[in-house]
Amino acid sequence: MAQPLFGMLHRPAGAVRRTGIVLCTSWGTEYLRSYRGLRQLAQALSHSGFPVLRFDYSGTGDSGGDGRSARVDTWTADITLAAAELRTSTGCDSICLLGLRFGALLAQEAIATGAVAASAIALWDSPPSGEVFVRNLQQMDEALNEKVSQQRRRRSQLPPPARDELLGHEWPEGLAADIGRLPGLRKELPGRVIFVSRDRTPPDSVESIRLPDAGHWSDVERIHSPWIPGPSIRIVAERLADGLP
Amino acid sequence: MNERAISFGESGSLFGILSQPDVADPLRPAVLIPNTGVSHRAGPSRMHVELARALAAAGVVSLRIDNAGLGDSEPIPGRLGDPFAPDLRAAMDALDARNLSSGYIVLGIHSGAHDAHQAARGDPRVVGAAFIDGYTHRTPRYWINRTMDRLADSARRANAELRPQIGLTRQSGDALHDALLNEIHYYDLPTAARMQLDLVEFMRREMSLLYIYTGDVENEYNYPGQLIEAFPLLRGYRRMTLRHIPEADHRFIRRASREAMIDVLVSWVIRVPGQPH
Repeated sequence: MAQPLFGMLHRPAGAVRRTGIVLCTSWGTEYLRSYRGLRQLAQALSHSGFPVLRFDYSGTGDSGGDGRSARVDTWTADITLAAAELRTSTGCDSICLLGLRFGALLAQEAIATGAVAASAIALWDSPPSGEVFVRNLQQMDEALNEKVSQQRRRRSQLPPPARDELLGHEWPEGLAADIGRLPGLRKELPGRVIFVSRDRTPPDSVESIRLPDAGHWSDVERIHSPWIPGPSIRIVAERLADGLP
Repeated sequence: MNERAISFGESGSLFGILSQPDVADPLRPAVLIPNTGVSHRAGPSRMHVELARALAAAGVVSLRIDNAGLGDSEPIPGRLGDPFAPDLRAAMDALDARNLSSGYIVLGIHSGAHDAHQAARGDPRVVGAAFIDGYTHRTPRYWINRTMDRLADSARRANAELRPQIGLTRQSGDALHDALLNEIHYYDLPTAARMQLDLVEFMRREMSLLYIYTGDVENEYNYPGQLIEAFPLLRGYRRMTLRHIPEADHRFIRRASREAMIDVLVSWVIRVPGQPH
Protein backbone atom coordinates (compact mmCIF):
# COMPACT_ATOMS: atom_id res chain seq x y z
CA MET A 1 0.00 0.00 0.00
CA ALA A 2 1.28 3.47 -0.85
CA GLN A 3 2.50 5.40 2.15
CA PRO A 4 1.46 9.02 2.72
CA LEU A 5 4.09 11.59 1.85
CA PHE A 6 4.84 14.64 3.93
CA GLY A 7 5.01 17.99 2.12
CA MET A 8 5.00 21.70 2.85
CA LEU A 9 3.22 24.01 0.45
CA HIS A 10 4.40 27.61 0.25
CA ARG A 11 1.64 29.73 -1.22
CA PRO A 12 2.82 32.68 -3.28
CA ALA A 13 2.77 36.22 -2.04
CA GLY A 14 1.53 39.04 -4.26
CA ALA A 15 1.00 38.45 -7.95
CA VAL A 16 0.83 34.72 -8.61
CA ARG A 17 3.02 33.21 -11.29
CA ARG A 18 1.91 30.43 -13.59
CA THR A 19 4.90 28.24 -12.76
CA GLY A 20 4.89 26.08 -9.66
CA ILE A 21 8.22 24.87 -8.28
CA VAL A 22 8.78 21.46 -6.74
CA LEU A 23 11.91 21.24 -4.59
CA CYS A 24 13.56 17.82 -4.87
CA THR A 25 15.80 17.31 -1.87
CA SER A 26 18.93 15.21 -1.58
CA TRP A 27 19.60 11.96 0.27
CA GLY A 28 20.43 11.11 3.90
CA THR A 29 22.90 13.43 5.55
CA GLU A 30 22.55 15.97 2.73
CA TYR A 31 18.77 15.96 3.21
CA LEU A 32 19.22 16.70 6.91
CA ARG A 33 21.85 19.37 6.33
CA SER A 34 19.77 21.23 3.78
CA TYR A 35 16.32 21.07 5.38
CA ARG A 36 16.28 24.62 6.73
CA GLY A 37 18.13 25.99 3.70
CA LEU A 38 15.54 24.57 1.29
CA ARG A 39 12.82 26.05 3.48
CA GLN A 40 14.46 29.44 3.11
CA LEU A 41 14.71 28.92 -0.63
CA ALA A 42 11.01 28.00 -0.80
CA GLN A 43 10.11 31.12 1.16
CA ALA A 44 12.21 33.32 -1.11
CA LEU A 45 10.61 31.82 -4.22
CA SER A 46 7.10 32.14 -2.83
CA HIS A 47 7.76 35.78 -2.00
CA SER A 48 8.51 36.19 -5.70
CA GLY A 49 5.09 34.80 -6.59
CA PHE A 50 5.84 31.11 -7.18
CA PRO A 51 3.80 28.39 -5.51
CA VAL A 52 6.39 26.01 -4.07
CA LEU A 53 6.15 22.48 -2.71
CA ARG A 54 8.80 20.79 -0.57
CA PHE A 55 8.34 17.16 0.35
CA ASP A 56 10.06 14.10 1.82
CA TYR A 57 10.58 11.01 -0.32
CA SER A 58 9.02 7.73 0.78
CA GLY A 59 10.82 6.23 3.76
CA THR A 60 12.61 9.48 4.58
CA GLY A 61 11.94 12.38 6.94
CA ASP A 62 8.32 12.65 8.01
CA SER A 63 6.93 10.68 5.08
CA GLY A 64 5.54 7.23 5.55
CA GLY A 65 7.44 4.09 4.84
CA ASP A 66 10.64 2.38 5.81
CA GLY A 67 13.92 3.51 4.30
CA ARG A 68 14.89 -0.13 3.90
CA SER A 69 12.61 -0.39 0.90
CA ALA A 70 13.94 2.77 -0.74
CA ARG A 71 14.42 2.66 -4.51
CA VAL A 72 14.96 5.25 -7.24
CA ASP A 73 11.73 4.27 -9.02
CA THR A 74 9.72 4.95 -5.88
CA TRP A 75 11.29 8.34 -5.35
CA THR A 76 10.79 9.32 -8.99
CA ALA A 77 7.14 8.40 -8.61
CA ASP A 78 7.07 10.56 -5.48
CA ILE A 79 8.21 13.56 -7.57
CA THR A 80 5.38 12.84 -9.98
CA LEU A 81 2.91 12.85 -7.09
CA ALA A 82 4.37 16.07 -5.71
CA ALA A 83 4.08 17.83 -9.07
CA ALA A 84 0.47 16.68 -9.45
CA GLU A 85 -0.31 17.82 -5.92
CA LEU A 86 1.17 21.25 -6.59
CA ARG A 87 -0.91 21.64 -9.76
CA THR A 88 -4.07 20.56 -7.97
CA SER A 89 -3.50 22.67 -4.87
CA THR A 90 -2.53 25.90 -6.57
CA GLY A 91 -3.81 25.72 -10.14
CA CYS A 92 -0.36 26.42 -11.57
CA ASP A 93 -0.19 25.44 -15.24
CA SER A 94 3.50 24.65 -15.56
CA ILE A 95 6.06 22.98 -13.34
CA CYS A 96 9.72 23.64 -12.61
CA LEU A 97 11.65 20.97 -10.74
CA LEU A 98 14.50 22.32 -8.65
CA GLY A 99 16.76 19.51 -7.48
CA LEU A 100 19.55 19.75 -4.96
CA ARG A 101 22.44 17.27 -5.35
CA PHE A 102 20.90 13.78 -5.57
CA GLY A 103 17.55 15.50 -6.01
CA ALA A 104 18.87 16.99 -9.26
CA LEU A 105 19.61 13.51 -10.59
CA LEU A 106 16.17 12.30 -9.57
CA ALA A 107 14.46 15.34 -11.06
CA GLN A 108 16.19 14.74 -14.40
CA GLU A 109 15.14 11.10 -14.27
CA ALA A 110 11.53 12.10 -13.61
CA ILE A 111 11.51 14.40 -16.63
CA ALA A 112 13.54 12.15 -18.95
CA THR A 113 11.28 9.16 -18.32
CA GLY A 114 8.18 11.27 -18.93
CA ALA A 115 6.95 10.84 -15.39
CA VAL A 116 6.76 14.62 -14.96
CA ALA A 117 5.97 17.16 -17.66
CA ALA A 118 8.05 20.14 -16.59
CA SER A 119 8.75 23.35 -18.42
CA ALA A 120 12.01 23.92 -16.57
CA ILE A 121 14.54 22.17 -14.36
CA ALA A 122 17.17 23.74 -12.09
CA LEU A 123 20.07 21.52 -11.05
CA TRP A 124 21.75 22.78 -7.87
CA ASP A 125 25.17 21.26 -7.17
CA SER A 126 24.21 18.26 -9.25
CA PRO A 127 26.82 15.48 -9.00
CA PRO A 128 28.61 14.60 -12.25
CA SER A 129 26.72 11.29 -12.22
CA GLY A 130 24.94 8.88 -9.93
CA GLU A 131 28.02 6.72 -9.86
CA VAL A 132 30.16 9.62 -8.63
CA PHE A 133 27.52 10.49 -6.04
CA VAL A 134 27.51 6.94 -4.68
CA ARG A 135 31.30 6.79 -4.59
CA ASN A 136 31.40 10.09 -2.74
CA LEU A 137 28.93 8.84 -0.14
CA GLN A 138 30.91 5.65 0.33
CA GLN A 139 34.13 7.62 0.78
CA MET A 140 32.40 9.89 3.27
CA ASP A 141 31.13 6.83 5.14
CA GLU A 142 34.63 5.41 5.40
CA ALA A 143 35.99 8.76 6.55
CA LEU A 144 33.22 9.16 9.14
CA ASN A 145 33.75 5.67 10.51
CA GLU A 146 37.48 6.28 10.73
CA LYS A 147 36.95 9.62 12.44
CA VAL A 148 34.48 8.23 14.97
CA SER A 149 36.76 5.30 15.68
CA GLN A 150 39.72 7.60 16.29
CA GLN A 151 37.71 9.87 18.56
CA ARG A 152 36.48 7.05 20.77
CA ARG A 153 38.33 4.95 23.26
CA ARG A 154 38.81 1.25 22.63
CA ARG A 155 36.05 0.26 25.04
CA SER A 156 33.51 2.64 23.51
CA GLN A 157 33.77 1.80 19.83
CA LEU A 158 30.52 1.74 17.89
CA PRO A 159 29.39 -1.60 16.53
CA PRO A 160 30.43 -2.13 12.91
CA PRO A 161 28.00 -0.76 10.30
CA ALA A 162 25.52 -3.14 8.75
CA ARG A 163 25.85 -3.75 5.02
CA ASP A 164 22.60 -1.95 4.36
CA GLU A 165 23.34 1.33 6.10
CA LEU A 166 25.48 4.26 5.06
CA LEU A 167 26.32 7.41 6.99
CA GLY A 168 23.62 6.54 9.51
CA HIS A 169 20.88 6.11 6.91
CA GLU A 170 19.22 3.17 5.26
CA TRP A 171 21.12 1.92 2.21
CA PRO A 172 19.26 -1.16 1.05
CA GLU A 173 20.77 -3.64 -1.32
CA GLY A 174 20.25 -2.49 -4.88
CA LEU A 175 20.02 1.21 -4.11
CA ALA A 176 23.66 1.89 -4.99
CA ALA A 177 23.20 0.21 -8.37
CA ASP A 178 19.95 2.11 -8.89
CA ILE A 179 21.57 5.46 -8.22
CA GLY A 180 24.73 4.48 -10.08
CA ARG A 181 22.71 4.16 -13.28
CA LEU A 182 21.59 7.78 -13.14
CA PRO A 183 23.51 9.92 -15.62
CA GLY A 184 24.84 13.40 -14.90
CA LEU A 185 23.68 16.31 -17.01
CA ARG A 186 21.35 14.81 -19.62
CA LYS A 187 21.18 16.04 -23.15
CA GLU A 188 17.92 16.88 -24.83
CA LEU A 189 15.82 17.45 -21.74
CA PRO A 190 12.63 19.17 -22.82
CA GLY A 191 12.19 22.72 -21.55
CA ARG A 192 14.60 25.03 -19.92
CA VAL A 193 17.65 23.65 -18.08
CA ILE A 194 19.43 25.79 -15.48
CA PHE A 195 22.69 24.68 -13.94
CA VAL A 196 23.32 26.07 -10.45
CA SER A 197 26.75 25.76 -8.89
CA ARG A 198 29.79 27.53 -7.56
CA ASP A 199 32.36 24.97 -8.63
CA ARG A 200 31.10 23.16 -11.72
CA THR A 201 30.72 24.71 -15.13
CA PRO A 202 28.12 23.34 -17.54
CA PRO A 203 28.54 23.09 -21.31
CA ASP A 204 28.23 26.46 -23.08
CA SER A 205 24.79 25.64 -24.34
CA VAL A 206 23.38 25.32 -20.83
CA GLU A 207 22.12 28.30 -18.88
CA SER A 208 23.88 28.62 -15.54
CA ILE A 209 23.71 30.48 -12.25
CA ARG A 210 27.08 30.96 -10.61
CA LEU A 211 26.92 30.82 -6.80
CA PRO A 212 29.11 32.46 -4.17
CA ASP A 213 28.75 29.65 -1.59
CA ALA A 214 30.36 26.23 -1.53
CA GLY A 215 28.24 23.27 -0.42
CA HIS A 216 31.10 21.35 1.24
CA TRP A 217 29.31 18.15 0.23
CA SER A 218 32.48 16.06 0.44
CA ASP A 219 33.72 17.41 3.76
CA VAL A 220 33.24 14.85 6.51
CA GLU A 221 33.73 17.58 9.12
CA ARG A 222 30.54 19.23 7.88
CA ILE A 223 28.47 16.12 7.48
CA HIS A 224 26.11 17.17 10.28
CA SER A 225 26.45 20.92 9.82
CA PRO A 226 23.58 22.98 8.42
CA TRP A 227 23.58 24.14 4.82
CA ILE A 228 21.93 27.55 4.74
CA PRO A 229 23.66 29.53 1.99
CA GLY A 230 21.79 32.82 2.28
CA PRO A 231 23.52 34.72 -0.53
CA SER A 232 23.15 31.82 -2.96
CA ILE A 233 19.49 31.39 -2.06
CA ARG A 234 18.82 35.05 -2.80
CA ILE A 235 20.61 34.83 -6.15
CA VAL A 236 18.76 31.70 -7.26
CA ALA A 237 15.38 33.13 -6.25
CA GLU A 238 16.08 36.36 -8.13
CA ARG A 239 17.26 34.60 -11.27
CA LEU A 240 14.31 32.23 -11.37
CA ALA A 241 11.95 35.16 -10.81
CA ASP A 242 13.58 36.90 -13.75
CA GLY A 243 13.19 33.98 -16.08
CA LEU A 244 10.09 31.95 -15.25
CA PRO A 245 6.49 33.08 -15.83
CA MET B 1 -1.17 4.91 14.08
CA ASN B 2 -1.79 8.24 12.48
CA GLU B 3 0.30 11.35 12.13
CA ARG B 4 -0.57 14.92 11.37
CA ALA B 5 1.16 18.24 11.29
CA ILE B 6 0.15 20.88 13.79
CA SER B 7 0.99 24.55 14.23
CA PHE B 8 1.03 25.91 17.75
CA GLY B 9 2.46 28.62 19.93
CA GLU B 10 1.87 32.32 19.65
CA SER B 11 0.36 33.04 16.23
CA GLY B 12 0.96 29.43 15.24
CA SER B 13 4.60 29.98 14.46
CA LEU B 14 5.80 26.67 15.87
CA PHE B 15 5.50 23.38 14.02
CA GLY B 16 5.36 19.76 15.00
CA ILE B 17 4.17 16.31 13.99
CA LEU B 18 1.65 14.65 16.29
CA SER B 19 1.77 10.85 16.31
CA GLN B 20 -1.20 9.06 17.81
CA PRO B 21 -1.90 5.38 18.35
CA ASP B 22 -5.07 3.93 16.90
CA VAL B 23 -6.48 3.81 20.42
CA ALA B 24 -5.01 6.50 22.65
CA ASP B 25 -5.23 6.29 26.44
CA PRO B 26 -5.84 9.81 27.79
CA LEU B 27 -4.60 8.72 31.21
CA ARG B 28 -1.11 8.22 29.86
CA PRO B 29 1.43 11.03 29.53
CA ALA B 30 2.33 12.23 26.06
CA VAL B 31 5.95 12.49 24.95
CA LEU B 32 7.44 15.73 23.65
CA ILE B 33 10.59 15.49 21.53
CA PRO B 34 12.47 18.74 20.87
CA ASN B 35 15.18 19.14 18.24
CA THR B 36 18.56 17.50 18.62
CA GLY B 37 21.11 20.19 17.77
CA VAL B 38 20.15 22.10 14.66
CA SER B 39 18.62 19.11 12.83
CA HIS B 40 14.93 19.45 12.14
CA ARG B 41 12.30 17.40 13.93
CA ALA B 42 13.04 14.16 12.04
CA GLY B 43 16.12 13.91 14.23
CA PRO B 44 19.58 12.55 13.54
CA SER B 45 19.37 9.48 11.28
CA ARG B 46 15.55 9.90 11.45
CA MET B 47 15.66 8.89 15.11
CA HIS B 48 12.76 11.08 16.24
CA VAL B 49 10.47 9.70 13.54
CA GLU B 50 11.28 6.08 14.32
CA LEU B 51 10.93 6.74 18.04
CA ALA B 52 7.57 8.50 17.62
CA ARG B 53 6.23 5.63 15.54
CA ALA B 54 7.47 3.05 18.03
CA LEU B 55 5.80 5.01 20.83
CA ALA B 56 2.54 5.10 18.88
CA ALA B 57 2.75 1.35 18.36
CA ALA B 58 3.07 1.05 22.14
CA GLY B 59 -0.03 3.22 22.64
CA VAL B 60 1.72 6.51 23.45
CA VAL B 61 0.97 9.93 21.94
CA SER B 62 3.99 12.03 20.98
CA LEU B 63 4.79 15.36 19.41
CA ARG B 64 8.12 15.90 17.70
CA ILE B 65 8.65 19.60 17.45
CA ASP B 66 10.77 22.17 15.74
CA ASN B 67 11.95 24.75 18.22
CA ALA B 68 11.66 28.37 17.15
CA GLY B 69 14.02 29.11 14.28
CA LEU B 70 14.69 25.44 13.47
CA GLY B 71 13.10 23.12 10.90
CA ASP B 72 9.71 24.53 9.93
CA SER B 73 9.22 26.84 12.92
CA GLU B 74 9.57 30.57 12.67
CA PRO B 75 12.08 32.43 14.82
CA ILE B 76 10.62 34.31 17.78
CA PRO B 77 11.51 37.99 17.37
CA GLY B 78 13.58 39.35 20.20
CA ARG B 79 14.26 36.01 21.82
CA LEU B 80 17.80 35.72 23.07
CA GLY B 81 19.84 33.47 25.28
CA ASP B 82 18.48 30.19 26.57
CA PRO B 83 15.58 29.91 24.27
CA PHE B 84 13.61 26.72 23.82
CA ALA B 85 11.82 25.75 27.05
CA PRO B 86 8.92 28.11 26.15
CA ASP B 87 8.43 26.12 22.94
CA LEU B 88 7.94 22.93 24.93
CA ARG B 89 5.47 24.73 27.19
CA ALA B 90 3.61 25.92 24.11
CA ALA B 91 3.53 22.30 22.90
CA MET B 92 1.98 21.24 26.20
CA ASP B 93 -0.65 23.97 25.87
CA ALA B 94 -1.45 22.74 22.36
CA LEU B 95 -1.89 19.14 23.50
CA ASP B 96 -3.82 20.17 26.62
CA ALA B 97 -6.40 21.70 24.32
CA ARG B 98 -6.79 18.33 22.59
CA ASN B 99 -7.23 16.28 25.80
CA LEU B 100 -4.96 13.53 24.54
CA SER B 101 -2.93 12.80 27.63
CA SER B 102 -2.40 13.12 31.32
CA GLY B 103 0.84 15.00 31.87
CA TYR B 104 3.95 15.05 29.73
CA ILE B 105 7.28 13.40 29.32
CA VAL B 106 9.99 15.57 27.80
CA LEU B 107 12.58 13.52 25.96
CA GLY B 108 15.69 15.29 24.73
CA ILE B 109 18.90 14.26 23.09
CA HIS B 110 22.04 16.33 23.74
CA SER B 111 20.93 19.95 23.24
CA GLY B 112 17.37 18.64 23.44
CA ALA B 113 18.18 17.29 26.91
CA HIS B 114 18.99 20.82 27.98
CA ASP B 115 15.64 22.02 26.62
CA ALA B 116 13.88 19.11 28.34
CA HIS B 117 15.52 19.94 31.67
CA GLN B 118 14.61 23.61 31.45
CA ALA B 119 11.01 22.80 30.49
CA ALA B 120 10.68 20.26 33.31
CA ARG B 121 12.03 22.77 35.81
CA GLY B 122 9.39 25.31 35.08
CA ASP B 123 6.27 23.30 34.42
CA PRO B 124 4.46 20.96 36.83
CA ARG B 125 2.69 19.26 33.92
CA VAL B 126 5.95 17.42 33.25
CA VAL B 127 5.73 14.04 35.01
CA GLY B 128 8.76 12.45 33.39
CA ALA B 129 11.95 13.44 31.62
CA ALA B 130 14.47 11.48 29.62
CA PHE B 131 17.88 12.97 28.99
CA ILE B 132 20.27 11.42 26.50
CA ASP B 133 23.73 12.92 26.82
CA GLY B 134 22.38 15.76 28.88
CA TYR B 135 24.15 17.60 31.67
CA THR B 136 27.36 16.13 33.01
CA HIS B 137 29.05 17.12 36.26
CA ARG B 138 32.51 15.93 37.07
CA THR B 139 33.60 14.07 40.18
CA PRO B 140 37.01 13.16 41.67
CA ARG B 141 36.69 9.71 40.14
CA TYR B 142 35.96 11.25 36.76
CA TRP B 143 39.33 13.03 36.87
CA ILE B 144 41.17 9.87 37.89
CA ASN B 145 39.53 7.92 35.04
CA ARG B 146 40.31 10.67 32.60
CA THR B 147 43.96 10.70 33.54
CA MET B 148 44.18 6.92 33.26
CA ASP B 149 42.36 6.93 29.93
CA ARG B 150 44.63 9.57 28.51
CA LEU B 151 47.70 7.60 29.48
CA ALA B 152 46.25 4.42 28.00
CA ASP B 153 44.83 5.88 24.84
CA SER B 154 47.01 8.86 24.09
CA ALA B 155 48.83 7.12 21.29
CA ARG B 156 45.73 6.54 19.23
CA ARG B 157 43.44 9.42 20.00
CA ALA B 158 43.92 12.84 18.58
CA ASN B 159 43.78 15.58 21.18
CA ALA B 160 40.52 17.40 21.15
CA GLU B 161 41.03 20.78 19.63
CA LEU B 162 39.40 23.75 21.26
CA ARG B 163 37.47 25.71 18.69
CA PRO B 164 35.90 29.11 18.91
CA GLN B 165 32.16 28.85 19.30
CA ILE B 166 29.34 30.84 17.84
CA GLY B 167 26.03 31.08 19.62
CA LEU B 168 22.91 29.36 18.33
CA THR B 169 20.82 32.49 18.42
CA ARG B 170 18.32 34.11 16.17
CA GLN B 171 20.99 36.51 15.03
CA SER B 172 23.17 33.67 13.85
CA GLY B 173 21.04 33.40 10.73
CA ASP B 174 23.24 32.88 7.78
CA ALA B 175 26.26 32.60 10.05
CA LEU B 176 25.22 29.01 10.69
CA HIS B 177 26.23 28.32 7.16
CA ASP B 178 29.87 27.39 7.06
CA ALA B 179 29.85 26.76 10.80
CA LEU B 180 31.08 23.36 11.85
CA LEU B 181 28.68 21.65 14.19
CA ASN B 182 31.16 21.61 17.05
CA GLU B 183 31.51 25.38 16.75
CA ILE B 184 27.88 25.94 17.62
CA HIS B 185 27.26 26.75 21.27
CA TYR B 186 24.00 25.21 22.44
CA TYR B 187 23.78 25.88 26.15
CA ASP B 188 25.68 26.53 29.33
CA LEU B 189 25.95 23.78 31.91
CA PRO B 190 24.12 24.69 35.12
CA THR B 191 26.26 24.91 38.21
CA ALA B 192 26.23 21.90 40.52
CA ALA B 193 24.27 23.96 43.04
CA ARG B 194 21.64 24.87 40.45
CA MET B 195 21.41 21.27 39.26
CA GLN B 196 21.01 20.09 42.85
CA LEU B 197 18.11 22.49 43.39
CA ASP B 198 16.44 21.31 40.20
CA LEU B 199 16.80 17.66 41.18
CA VAL B 200 15.27 18.39 44.59
CA GLU B 201 12.35 19.94 42.75
CA PHE B 202 12.02 16.99 40.36
CA MET B 203 12.05 14.55 43.26
CA ARG B 204 9.52 16.58 45.24
CA ARG B 205 7.20 16.31 42.24
CA GLU B 206 7.95 12.57 42.02
CA MET B 207 8.96 12.91 38.40
CA SER B 208 10.21 9.84 36.59
CA LEU B 209 13.75 10.48 35.38
CA LEU B 210 15.82 8.64 32.80
CA TYR B 211 19.45 9.60 32.30
CA ILE B 212 21.37 7.93 29.47
CA TYR B 213 25.00 8.66 28.68
CA THR B 214 26.66 7.42 25.49
CA GLY B 215 30.24 7.27 24.30
CA ASP B 216 29.74 10.61 22.53
CA VAL B 217 30.20 12.33 25.89
CA GLU B 218 32.91 10.08 27.26
CA ASN B 219 35.15 13.11 27.68
CA GLU B 220 32.62 14.47 30.17
CA TYR B 221 31.03 11.32 31.57
CA ASN B 222 33.31 8.33 31.94
CA TYR B 223 31.83 5.79 34.36
CA PRO B 224 28.35 4.43 35.03
CA GLY B 225 27.68 6.00 38.43
CA GLN B 226 29.09 9.46 37.76
CA LEU B 227 25.71 11.17 37.98
CA ILE B 228 24.94 9.55 41.35
CA GLU B 229 28.34 10.43 42.76
CA ALA B 230 27.96 14.01 41.57
CA PHE B 231 24.46 14.20 43.10
CA PRO B 232 24.16 11.69 45.95
CA LEU B 233 20.59 12.79 46.67
CA LEU B 234 19.60 10.67 43.65
CA ARG B 235 20.84 7.52 45.36
CA GLY B 236 17.84 5.38 46.13
CA TYR B 237 15.37 7.62 44.29
CA ARG B 238 13.02 4.95 42.99
CA ARG B 239 11.81 6.91 39.97
CA MET B 240 15.27 7.41 38.53
CA THR B 241 16.90 5.18 35.93
CA LEU B 242 20.51 5.67 34.90
CA ARG B 243 22.09 3.95 31.91
CA HIS B 244 25.66 4.25 30.67
CA ILE B 245 25.97 2.92 27.10
CA PRO B 246 29.48 3.77 25.91
CA GLU B 247 29.11 1.80 22.68
CA ALA B 248 26.18 4.03 21.58
CA ASP B 249 26.18 7.55 20.16
CA HIS B 250 23.68 10.38 20.08
CA ARG B 251 23.70 10.80 16.32
CA PHE B 252 22.58 7.20 15.99
CA ILE B 253 24.69 6.43 12.95
CA ARG B 254 24.30 2.68 13.57
CA ARG B 255 20.86 1.20 13.14
CA ALA B 256 21.58 -1.42 15.79
CA SER B 257 22.30 1.28 18.37
CA ARG B 258 19.32 3.33 17.26
CA GLU B 259 16.93 0.41 17.57
CA ALA B 260 18.36 -0.60 20.94
CA MET B 261 17.96 2.97 22.18
CA ILE B 262 14.37 3.10 20.97
CA ASP B 263 13.64 -0.13 22.87
CA VAL B 264 15.12 1.35 26.05
CA LEU B 265 13.15 4.57 25.66
CA VAL B 266 9.81 2.97 24.82
CA SER B 267 10.00 0.44 27.62
CA TRP B 268 10.78 3.27 30.06
CA VAL B 269 8.06 5.59 28.76
CA ILE B 270 5.28 3.06 29.09
CA ARG B 271 6.09 2.66 32.78
CA VAL B 272 5.81 6.37 33.56
CA PRO B 273 2.51 7.03 35.37
CA GLY B 274 0.27 9.86 34.21
CA GLN B 275 -0.40 13.03 36.11
CA PRO B 276 -2.47 12.43 39.25
CA HIS B 277 -5.86 14.17 39.12
